[in-house]
Amino acid sequence: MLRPRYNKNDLGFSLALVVLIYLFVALIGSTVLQLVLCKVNGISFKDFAANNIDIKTLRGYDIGNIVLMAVSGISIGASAFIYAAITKTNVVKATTMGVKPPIAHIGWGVLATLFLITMMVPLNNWIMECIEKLGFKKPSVDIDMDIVSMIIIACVLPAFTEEMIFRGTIAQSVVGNKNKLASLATVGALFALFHMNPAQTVHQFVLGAFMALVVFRSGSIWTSVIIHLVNNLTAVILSAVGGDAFFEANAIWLFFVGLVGFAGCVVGYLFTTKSKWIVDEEQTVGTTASKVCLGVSIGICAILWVVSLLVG
Amino acid sequence: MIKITPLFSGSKGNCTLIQTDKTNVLLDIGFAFKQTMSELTYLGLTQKDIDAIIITHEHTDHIGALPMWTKGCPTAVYSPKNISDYICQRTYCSDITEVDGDFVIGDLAIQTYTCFHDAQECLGYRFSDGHTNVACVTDTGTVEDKLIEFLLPCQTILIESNHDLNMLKNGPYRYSLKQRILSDYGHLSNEQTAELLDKIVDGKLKNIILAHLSEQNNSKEIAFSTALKVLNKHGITEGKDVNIYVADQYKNRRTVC
Ligand SMILES: [Zn+2]
Ligand SMILES: [Zn+2]
Repeated sequence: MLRPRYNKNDLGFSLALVVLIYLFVALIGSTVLQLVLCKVNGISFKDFAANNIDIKTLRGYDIGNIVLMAVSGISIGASAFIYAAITKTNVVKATTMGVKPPIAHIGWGVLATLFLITMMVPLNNWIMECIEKLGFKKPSVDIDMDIVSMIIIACVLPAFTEEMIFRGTIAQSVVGNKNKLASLATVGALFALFHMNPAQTVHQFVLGAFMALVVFRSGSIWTSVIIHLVNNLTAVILSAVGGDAFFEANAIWLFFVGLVGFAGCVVGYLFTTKSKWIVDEEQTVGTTASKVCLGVSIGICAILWVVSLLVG
Repeated sequence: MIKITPLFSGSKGNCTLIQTDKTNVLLDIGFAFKQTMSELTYLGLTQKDIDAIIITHEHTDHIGALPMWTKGCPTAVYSPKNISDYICQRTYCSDITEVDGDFVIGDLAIQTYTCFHDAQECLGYRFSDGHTNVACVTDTGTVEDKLIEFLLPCQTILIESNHDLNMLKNGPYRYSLKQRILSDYGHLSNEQTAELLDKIVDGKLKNIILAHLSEQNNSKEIAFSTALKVLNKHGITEGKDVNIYVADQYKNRRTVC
């Protein structure tokens, strides 16, 4: 007998929802973009498809691309609100949106994130080199966009929308688990996998898990929104001011400075701040339906991750 | 005569001993194995004296010590049907009987009640030796007629009185946890248990054991006084007509019969 469940977040269902919505919007969005650009440029969609025309050469691509990225970004955040609506959950309370973020948690979090980037830029470069040496195309994270759109579409928007669904919804389904490290690793792994970008996987994993730690301990989603924002902005600023060359020249010692700094910040954070992280007295075992949703969603993300590794 | 001894009761773990002259049964085994053994030793029992362990549902506060117990002794385990696979993974060399309807252990006839709880399957049990009926129902979120009917023939009930509504609402739990406890598939509040007692105290009831109290969101005094109000309303004297005992999480050493 299938019985109705209480409104607690469910890992499998919430992940499946965001994967479904994101892929749906990406698929429909890119098709619509192609159709619109064909129309604007006065070529038939048939010719466009048959002649292998590079979409980036079409007039209006820049603005179209910005709109598409904005829409897909918004759809990720919308999935948190849709999930709350479906499960009849108070989204403000469930995502901890209504809780004021404690200053100390933000401070430690931001500092740790800066060290993490310092460590991850060289590490990501090494990983990308390795991937290249293994015979795959070098993965990239380049987004060709003007700086203002970049900051709005690739920094501010995802900082909010991704946090709403990943730390605000998905992570809330594992916060009660007895094994705290496993909870963090789960959030980090799903976050990394969802980005489907081999160049960023390690960084996303650590960052995703760390942000979950800060949200669980501070009890407020805004701590991780701010951390996420700082992380994104730093990445954009670094590439805008040509930080790549500096990082390449000083890779090894920057890596170690970052590593030690990050570890120090995590320890400092754990020992100097008060935690609101409460583990459930009763540990629930997920339903079969939920496990299937989880497995299928992970499978789809993993396949796309591999595809992106192969295609570059 | 059936004797019932709550060994441990609360969110940190539950274990209740049900006894007749011939049969010893443990209902749930969710508290630390070592402490469970020392309580049994105090009662003059060893692992081998226990004829069966009956499981209500798969949450850790009900099966926590099952692996340890069955490692050392192949006591028969009775598990709700839907969770028997899960229980099987946590059991060493014990026979697992799937509970699907009424069953018998020794001179105890046992009937079940399906609880409203966020587990795969959660059962309440009613034990009968032909003379007395004893029921144990915890981990349920709803008071329904079926539950009242289930408890009505009993002289002794062990019933959940999990939380005080005000303490829970103002307490430190996060939203999802509060929602879970408050939902129809969570736990009975003191108020719900009072509502339930109101419907059954005029029957055969002699002993009420209030159980599965939340450590964070309830106190023995509040749980007791909420139940006492119901007795007073019905003109029943506590300690004379009906006894109320509030089970402790860590130490009880009190047998009710
Ligand atoms: Zn339970
Ligand atoms: Zn329980």
